[in-house]
Amino acid sequence: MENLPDKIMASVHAIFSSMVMMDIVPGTPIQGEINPLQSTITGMIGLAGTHRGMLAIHLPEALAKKVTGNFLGMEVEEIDNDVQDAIGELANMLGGGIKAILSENGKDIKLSMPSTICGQEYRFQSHYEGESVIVPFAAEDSQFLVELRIKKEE
Amino acid sequence: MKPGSLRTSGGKGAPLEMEKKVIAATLAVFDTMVMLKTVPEAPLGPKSAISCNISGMLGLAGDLRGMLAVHWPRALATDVTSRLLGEEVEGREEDIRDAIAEIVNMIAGGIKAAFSSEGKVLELSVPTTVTGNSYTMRSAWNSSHIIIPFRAGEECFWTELKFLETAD
Amino acid sequence: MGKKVLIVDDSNTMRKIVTRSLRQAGLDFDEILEAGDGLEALAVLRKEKVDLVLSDINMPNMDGLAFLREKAADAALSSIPVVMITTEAGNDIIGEAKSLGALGSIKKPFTPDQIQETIGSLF
Repeated sequence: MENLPDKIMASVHAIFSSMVMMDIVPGTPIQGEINPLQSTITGMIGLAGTHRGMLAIHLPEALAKKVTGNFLGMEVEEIDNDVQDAIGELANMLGGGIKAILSENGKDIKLSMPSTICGQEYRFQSHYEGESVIVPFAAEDSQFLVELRIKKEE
Repeated sequence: MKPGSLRTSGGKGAPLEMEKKVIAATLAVFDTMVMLKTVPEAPLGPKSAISCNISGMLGLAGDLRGMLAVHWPRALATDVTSRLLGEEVEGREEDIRDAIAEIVNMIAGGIKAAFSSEGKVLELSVPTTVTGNSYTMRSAWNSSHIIIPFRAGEECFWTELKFLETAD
Repeated sequence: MGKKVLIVDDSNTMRKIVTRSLRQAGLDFDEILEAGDGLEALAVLRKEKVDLVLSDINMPNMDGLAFLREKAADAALSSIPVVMITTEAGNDIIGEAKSLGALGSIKKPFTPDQIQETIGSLF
């Protein structure tokens, strides 16, 4: 598939500039291992239909709190239900954005329910032989990752 | 290693028909490929704490939007993988993760087939595993939520499904 | 009688599961070969004398249906029996596999007995 990093950057930028109102700078896609994730929160959503795969956003806890604060318009002290829900919603919107970019029709790719994982240390691994792209984004003296695993079904 | 803990939350109860599909799909995998006797127990309430070290997850899309997860304590995941592959896998982390991914994939396939026979179309996304000693999973949506414990000997694993029906 | 079977699946785990199931089904294969996709499978078939192929459908590089097509087009390979092993393929995909030459299909999850039933009758 062509230009996946660009497509991911476009989708992330659209959401961060509008809903999160946070400046972000995309970096070079990461080739190596990102695990284990530490003090991180992950929002993930599955894609199915003409394209099959998984999209995840991994944020360090401090950054996740700031993102949630901007997103919901409130101060956030800890990784509570609000933060988890906000990050899940972020994954949902990113999924919506990327599906519209991957398929002109948009209807041909369907999204699953989003889910959030958080913890002091965990390993998050996709088990799928599709293309794998991980783009880092600098934000607020920190960095988050957007991970896409995708394959076009015949 | 200490067993981890997982808190699941969100959602409300679910119709009995769905519980039956989840149980049937899970047992189909165990009775055939794993050949370990497992017995479903009463569904847990939505705000339940589960002790596990590895979870296999897979998203469902189409006529339902959902997230399927199967949660395992380490020792049971290892035992089940050994039976599935027909060889001892103690310490072979990658093989255990792959097997857990394969199991959630097959359970999802069974749920999809059950819906297909009712004329409902489910599309499956792809398996993911989460491994750790203490992680929390949450799907926020106010949706139906099923958590079914399955007892295998002294231990338990859990099949969890959150879902809602999509409008046309 | 030295019979060789080729297992084609992009999942290393699934190849081990099939190997274990063949053993438990009491099917007496001298050698079990493996391939990760249709392309690798064709390469193996051109090098070795394989008696049976068990193949997944969804694979990268060359999927199960494309593999069947390529194999059918090659006179040296076309008569080698193939049985598909599939997770969630609907009847239409299985039908297409059969029209491309597959002798049958096994749906995951399966028991060693089910493997025995489908494959045993081919020998």
